[in-house]
Amino acid sequence: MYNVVNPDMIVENYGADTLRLYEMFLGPVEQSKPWDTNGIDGCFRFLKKLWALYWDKDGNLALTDEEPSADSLKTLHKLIKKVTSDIEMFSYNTSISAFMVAVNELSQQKCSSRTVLQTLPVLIAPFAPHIAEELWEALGGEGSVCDAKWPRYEEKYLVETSVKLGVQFNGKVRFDMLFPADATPEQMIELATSAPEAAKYLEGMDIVKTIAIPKRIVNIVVKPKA
Amino acid sequence: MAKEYNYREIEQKWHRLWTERQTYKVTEDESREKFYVLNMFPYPSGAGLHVGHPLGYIASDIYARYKRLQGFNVLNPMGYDAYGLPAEQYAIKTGQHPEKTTFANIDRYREQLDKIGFSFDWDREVRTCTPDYYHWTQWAFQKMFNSYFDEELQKAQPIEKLIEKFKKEGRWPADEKAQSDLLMQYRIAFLGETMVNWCPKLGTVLANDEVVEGVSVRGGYPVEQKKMRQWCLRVSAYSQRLLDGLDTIDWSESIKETQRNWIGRSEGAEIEIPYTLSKEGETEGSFTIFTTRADTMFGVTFFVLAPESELVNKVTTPEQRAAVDEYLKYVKSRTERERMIDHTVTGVFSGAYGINPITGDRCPIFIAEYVLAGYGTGAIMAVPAHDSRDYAFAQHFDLPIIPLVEGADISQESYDAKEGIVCNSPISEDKSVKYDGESLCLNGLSIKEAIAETKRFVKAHNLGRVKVNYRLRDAIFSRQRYWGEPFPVYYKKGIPTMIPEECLPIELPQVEKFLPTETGEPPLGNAQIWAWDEKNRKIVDKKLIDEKAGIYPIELYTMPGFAGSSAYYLRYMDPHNNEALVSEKAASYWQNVDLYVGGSEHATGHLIYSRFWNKFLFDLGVSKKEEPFKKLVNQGMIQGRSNFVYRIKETNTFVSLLES
Repeated sequence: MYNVVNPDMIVENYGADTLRLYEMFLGPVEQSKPWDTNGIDGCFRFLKKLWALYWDKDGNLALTDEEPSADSLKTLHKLIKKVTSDIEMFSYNTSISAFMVAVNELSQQKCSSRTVLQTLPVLIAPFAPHIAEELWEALGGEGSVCDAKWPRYEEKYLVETSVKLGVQFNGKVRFDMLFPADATPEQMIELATSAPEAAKYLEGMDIVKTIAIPKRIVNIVVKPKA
Repeated sequence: MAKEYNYREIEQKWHRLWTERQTYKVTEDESREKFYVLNMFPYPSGAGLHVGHPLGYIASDIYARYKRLQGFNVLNPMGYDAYGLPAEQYAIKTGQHPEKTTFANIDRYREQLDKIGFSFDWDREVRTCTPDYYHWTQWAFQKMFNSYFDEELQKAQPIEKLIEKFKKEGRWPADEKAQSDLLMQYRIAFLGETMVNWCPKLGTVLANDEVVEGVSVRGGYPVEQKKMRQWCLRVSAYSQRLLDGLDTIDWSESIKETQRNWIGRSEGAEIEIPYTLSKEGETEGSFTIFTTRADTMFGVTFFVLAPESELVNKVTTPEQRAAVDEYLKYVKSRTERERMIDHTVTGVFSGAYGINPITGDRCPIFIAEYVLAGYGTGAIMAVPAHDSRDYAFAQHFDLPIIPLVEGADISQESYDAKEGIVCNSPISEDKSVKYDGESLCLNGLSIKEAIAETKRFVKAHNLGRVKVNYRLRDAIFSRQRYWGEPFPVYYKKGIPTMIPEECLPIELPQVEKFLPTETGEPPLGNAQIWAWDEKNRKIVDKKLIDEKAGIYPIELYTMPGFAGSSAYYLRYMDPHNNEALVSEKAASYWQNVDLYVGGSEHATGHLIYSRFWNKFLFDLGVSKKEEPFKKLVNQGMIQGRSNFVYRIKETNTFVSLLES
């Protein structure tokens, strides 16, 4: 269980890619850290989830050539940015966390865009080269994934297009709603007060005051009608 | 059925394809920018790879693959630091040749490494114990033997230049032995008499880091200090360059600081101290002390000699002889490192007195282990008020303590800071000796001013000289072991002589027994075919040794572990070259290591030796960069879990590890 645990056992039971991820996930490269096998399952599950992104229920590649959604592009470019800067700082454990978050997001988004999913194997290749090669090959990538081109992130995909805010009445958050990121305070109040969920808080009330700060806060102060 | 993630199938497939397609083979490619990633190569131990090993390899592999994806031509090699004591100890126990166990271990390492999917170019693998590799270890040693360090140029130069100089100056002796002895004082690889950690049970000399608390790390056998003929490398000559180089590389500040301390540069003065054998007696002679704080000479209340100092014998009075001898016996059991770390106060009075040239006072001379023979002159003046170790010593032996800084509180500890206004220097006017009508007075000056003023005074009145000192020692470069690189050296009428470069490598001879011989010779004394036939330029039976026939004995020592690991990064650039350590072309392309990954435990060993070795090869023009490793990342250790108590799942019951 201690420093004598032999990596062969982990390779045998989970695979080399899991071992690689797991050892890097233990903590920052330059810090000493305890050996704790609890994290192995998490890394293994992550690889299975990544794998599952690519296949339909019949075991066929499930990719489409449709335009990726803005959300998927954002997930991807956020990941490229994070992983690139993390690798430069040998902060591999945070890269792996970012991968886990991204893969969860992409599965939630039911992303099947070739554009997005073809980039993932390149990003993961330094960490988990076997699965990366397999996916790269399945996607019809040229040569080895080792010689692919490291992607660059584009700032334009990182821009928030809409912002989720809790709409407050008299300082209490009553419901969440999406606002365009570039909405003016007036537009925000207009949107909030006309939302169906707002109706019951406005019924029989006068609006005394409104406070709206783009991307930050929407508060509507009301009092019973005289 | 959804497609299953079959890691076993996927990984086996890609291991096969990577090999078939030579995915990780790398060649010099002038059209692409290079990037050199390197791991500290492993010693292939019998236990195989544990989880701590791959940590660094995976970390560097990720970086190597990332750089390749960015378009760099990446060199990411792997090999084995194959010489080592464990294989030799195993051989002694079982009779199995260390090469056999080492190679079997290497095969196991390789098998394990292959499973993890590294991007190593295995065509470049090196093993330090193979003749085609140690050829160049021997070659570098010979180059060092044939070079000296030119203080003015601050670089290695061919020894012939020094001979020329001696001839011109009329200092070149006629006698061959005298010539050899003279040059030995300058050669970068030289034969010297040094204090070593000798382990009688293992029959070998041990490095400082192989000894802990007076016993060997391997086996736990007693280790003593002994003077022995040893090959040494003049690492100390490169002290300033090793120090300066640290400012040019991207290493952690903590490792750099460790190296700076290890190199230990200090600027100070050497001062002549006359001594007497009794408090009132006549001057018998003098010795030289080294001090970085000549400004504190008014506070000297005793002198201390290193136990190994040749002066010890001269100054010990008959009355103190027995006590001194007993003390020396004790010190012999301690390593230099222990003496530096352990601050327990020990020492003995020699019976003699040193005369402080500034005050004229006579102060007792002690012998104590806290002064190391190799530092400065092995003799110090003690100023207990302003040096913590002198303070502890003075407290222990009840010696006077004179404060020299206004307001300094020395009731509990010494005042070591170099700040404040000087006082008691001198205590009274008659306590400062006049030289050419001038006496030194530092009262009222700042410490900085006092240091400068004292330097001037000492120089002006010829009381000593200003000197830069380094703590860095020369490296002992020979071992009395079997499993190491043999020295390409024979002894011609007692004079160490190099076997011609064209005859290298000199291969490690076969022996029946891996232990020292019955006459106490190192294990190579068991080799029968181990004599150099000068005329026929080959190794012959030692029965034939005969000066008239030109057949001489070959060196029985072997090289230490760090010999093979000091320039391996250069060999990876061009591992199959039989003409040179590395070709001009390969060295020019790969330059030096861009990213080096390994443990920080090598801070004062491998990481000093390889920097030294590289600087030497840089002077020769073989290495293209002054520093071998541009960026260093020290991976942390993976420790065992520290919880000893576990909770049984979903209960509040706790069990200890012992119960479970």
